[in-house]
Amino acid sequence: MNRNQIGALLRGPLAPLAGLALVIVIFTVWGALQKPDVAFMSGFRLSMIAKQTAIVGMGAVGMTAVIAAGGIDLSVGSLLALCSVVLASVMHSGADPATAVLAALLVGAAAGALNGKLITLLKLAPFVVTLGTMLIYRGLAEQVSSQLTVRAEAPRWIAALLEPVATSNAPLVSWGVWIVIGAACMLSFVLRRSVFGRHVTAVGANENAARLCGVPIRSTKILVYAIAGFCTAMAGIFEFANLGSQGSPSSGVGWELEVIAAVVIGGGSLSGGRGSVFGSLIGATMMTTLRSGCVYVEIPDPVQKVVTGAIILAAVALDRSRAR
Amino acid sequence: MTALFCVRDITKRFGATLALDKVSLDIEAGRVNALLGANGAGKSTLIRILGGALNADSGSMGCLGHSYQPGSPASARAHGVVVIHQEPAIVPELSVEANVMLGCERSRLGLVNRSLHRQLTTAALSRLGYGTLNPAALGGDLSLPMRHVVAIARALVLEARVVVLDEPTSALSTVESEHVLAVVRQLAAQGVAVLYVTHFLDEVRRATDSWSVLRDGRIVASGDSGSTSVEDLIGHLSGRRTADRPQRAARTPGEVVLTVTDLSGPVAPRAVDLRVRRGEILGLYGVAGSGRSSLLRTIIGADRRARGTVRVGSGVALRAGALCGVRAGVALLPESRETEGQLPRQSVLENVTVSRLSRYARAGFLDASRLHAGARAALLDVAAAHVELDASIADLSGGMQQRIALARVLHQDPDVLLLDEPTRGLDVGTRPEIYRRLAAFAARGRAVVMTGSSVDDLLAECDTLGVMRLGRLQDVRPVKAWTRAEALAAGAKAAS
Ligand SMILES: Nc1ncnc2c1ncn2[C@@H]1O[C@H](COP(=O)(O)OP(=O)(O)OP(=O)(O)O)[C@@H](O)[C@H]1O
Ligand SMILES: [Mg+2]
Repeated sequence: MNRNQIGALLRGPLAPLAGLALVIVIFTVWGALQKPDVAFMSGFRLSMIAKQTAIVGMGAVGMTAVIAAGGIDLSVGSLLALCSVVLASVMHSGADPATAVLAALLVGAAAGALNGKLITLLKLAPFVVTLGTMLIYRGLAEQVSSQLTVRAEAPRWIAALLEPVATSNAPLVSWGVWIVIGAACMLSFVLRRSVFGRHVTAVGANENAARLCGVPIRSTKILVYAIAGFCTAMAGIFEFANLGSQGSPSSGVGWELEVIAAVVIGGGSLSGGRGSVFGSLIGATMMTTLRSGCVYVEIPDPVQKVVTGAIILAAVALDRSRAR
Repeated sequence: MTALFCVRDITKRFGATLALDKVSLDIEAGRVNALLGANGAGKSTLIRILGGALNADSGSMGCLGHSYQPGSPASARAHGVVVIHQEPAIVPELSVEANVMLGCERSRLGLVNRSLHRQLTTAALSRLGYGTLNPAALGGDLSLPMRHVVAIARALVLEARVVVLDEPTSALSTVESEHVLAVVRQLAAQGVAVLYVTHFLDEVRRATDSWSVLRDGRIVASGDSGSTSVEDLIGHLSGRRTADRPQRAARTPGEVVLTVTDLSGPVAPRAVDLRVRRGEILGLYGVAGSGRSSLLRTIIGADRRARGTVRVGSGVALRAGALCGVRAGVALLPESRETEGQLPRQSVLENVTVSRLSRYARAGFLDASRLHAGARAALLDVAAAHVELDASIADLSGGMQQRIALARVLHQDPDVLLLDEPTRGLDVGTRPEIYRRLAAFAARGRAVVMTGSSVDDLLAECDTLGVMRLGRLQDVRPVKAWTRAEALAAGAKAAS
C-alpha cells in the first residue's frame, strides 16, 4: 500500500478512527503527566464510556440511515423519553416484561414511521416536521408518565443490560454493547448490499433523479425513519436500565444533537448520500470518551462544552472539505 | 506582436489522470479562438485554471505582459478574465439590470446607484446589439440564449479583456446558436480576446478566427479558421479520419406503444396528439421554450397534466402526475443533469444501476458480481467502457457524465424512451456512435422520442420528425417528407 492510498484512507473511512485515537492519546498522556496514580484507561472508566456509548451509539446507528437518505430527525431525544416511560409504565402496570419491551419497540418504530409519513405526506422539510414531532413526543412522554419518573420492578435481563456480564472481567462486554454492535453490523450490511440500501443513498444524493429512475421515494423514507425510531426505542430501553429501572419523561433532552454529531463525525453528510454506520459508532465513542476524559482531567463543565463544540465543528469542516 | 493573454506549459494531474500536459496557448485581442477537443481532452480543466477555480501543478500564465496568477475566480475577474459556463450564472429572482451588474454594483453613499446601473446596462446590451432588451425583465423569464447575452453584457461592464465561454451553444437550437455566435463576434469586435469552447465544428469557420485542438491533455494542432475544413478538424480531434455517417439499420415499425391524446399542461404542452410505434425514433425539433421538454415531462408524469390522456402499450391510460410513467415502462433522460439527471458525489456504478436494481437482487440483497457485470455492459453501450466503475461521477468530464446518464436510462430498458437533448455536450466522434446505439435499441422493438437542437441530426437519425412551437406540436411527418428549411420555418417563433 503506498502513501497515497494511506492518505486516502485517513481522509476517508479511517478519519473518525484516527480522531478517536487522537482523543485517547491526548487524555492518556495528559493523565500520565498530571495524575500518575490513576490511569485514564481504567476498567471503571472504560465501563462508563461503554455504557454511555451504547446509548448514544444505538441512536447514531439509526440516524445514519436517516442522514444518508438526506433527512434529519430532531425528535429522537423526545422519542427516547417516550419509549422509556412506555416501557416503565407497562411494566409497572404488572404486564410481562417482554410485553413491555415489545410495546416500547413498537412505539418507537411507529413514531419513526409517523415522522416519515408526515414528511412524505406534507412534503415538508424533515427539519420542520421532526421539530414538530419533537414537541409532540415529549408531550406524550409527560402525559404517559404524569410528568413523574416511573419506577418499575424490572427483571435482571433488562435492569442489567448495560452491566458487564458477571463472569467476564472485560468491562466492555455488557449485553447492551453486543446489541449495538449487532445492530450496526446488520444495518451496515443492509445499507451496503441491499436494494433498499442503494435506494437510501440514491434518495439522499438526488431525490429528483431517484424519482425519475422509479425509486420508491415514499416507502424508502418511511422505512428509514421507522428504523431510526426502532433504534431510538432500543436506546430508550438502555436509558431505562441506566437510570436503575426508571423511565423519566425528561431524559434525552438534547440527545438528538449528540446523535447527529456522532453521525457527522463518523463521515455522514448532512447534504445526504453518504453515511457510515461504523463511522457513526466511532463518532459516538469519540463523543463519550471526550466527555469522560474531560471529567478525568477535571476540565470544568463550561470548558468541556466549548471543547465538544469545537470538535464537532472541526468534524463538520472536515466533512465539507471531503465533499468539495 | 505579443498576445494579450498567454498560457505557458500548464500541467495538471488528477491522481492517475494527466488532464493537461504542458499546454501553451496564445489568445489575441479582438479575436475569437476556438478550443476544440474530444470529451475528456482537458478543455474544462484548462478553463477552470484560467478562471482561477483550480490551480495548475506547474506552468505560468501572462496577461498584457504581466504574470497572471489568479488564486480565485474573484481575482481572475479583477485581472479582467471572465469565464462564462454552459449554464450562465443568472439569478432568476433578479432583474436583467441587477443580473448584469451582479458583483460589480456601483454605489453612492452605500446605496445602489440605480441611474448609473441603468445606463451601464443599456450601454452594454446595445454594444452587443440587444439594446431593446427590457432591463426590468426577470432573469428567470429569459431564454437560455438571452441568459448568455446577459452574462456577456456583464463581462463588458466588468471591462473584461479575456472572456472564456465553455460550450455556450451545446443546448441551443440551430437558430439560437446563430444569435449567440453573433454576440460573441460583437464581443471580439470590442477588442476583447475570446476563448470559445465548442463541439460543433461548423461553428469554427462561421464565428472564430483561429483554433486549437486539445487531445489527451496536449495541444496537438492549431491554425487559422479560414483555411481549415471540418474534415481536417475531425482528423486532429481523434487522430484519425472518421468514416461517413453509418448507414441506418432498417427498422420496421411495429404496433403503437405510446398514445398521447389532447395532452395539455398548465402552460405547455398545448393539446398535443401523438402516436409512436415500436421500433420508431421520433425527433422533436423546436427553439428553446417551444415546450419540447414540457411535453416529455408531462408524458412521463414529472410535470402536472391539465388535460388529456397518455397510454402506454395496450394498457389503461396513465394516472396524471406522480411519475406513473416510470412504472408503466417509460424512462426519461431529463434536460438538466445537475438537478435531476444524476446522483452527484456517487460512483459511476451507483449512477448507472440505480434505474433498475431489482434485476440484480435476490431476496432484497444485491449480487455484487452480477451488478458489476450489468454496469459494465451498460457502459459499453454508450462508448464509455474505459470509465472506472468506482470513480466518482463528479470527477468525470461533462461529456462523460452525459454518457453515464444515457447509460442509466438505457439500462432501465423501458418500452418508451424519452430523451431530452441526448447528445448534449458529446464530441463529434461519439455522437454518431450514440445514435447507432439508439437505433439498435429501437430495433429491439422499443420506441424512442428525442428532442434535439440540431435539425440536421434529427433529420438524419429519426424516422419521424415533429416540430414544436409555442407549446403546440405543429406537424409530424416522416423525415423524408421534411426539408431542412421547412422544419426550421415551422419551428421559428411568430414574428412579434
Ligand atoms: N476533479 C477531478 N478529479 C479527477 N479527475 C478529473 C477531475 N476533473 C477532471 N478530471 C479528468 O480530467 C480529464 C479532463 O477533463 P475535462 O473536464 O477538462 O474534459 P473536457 O475536455 O472539458 O471534456 P468535455 O468535452 O466532456 O466537457 C478527464 O479525464 C476527467 O476525468
Ligand atoms: Mg467540459
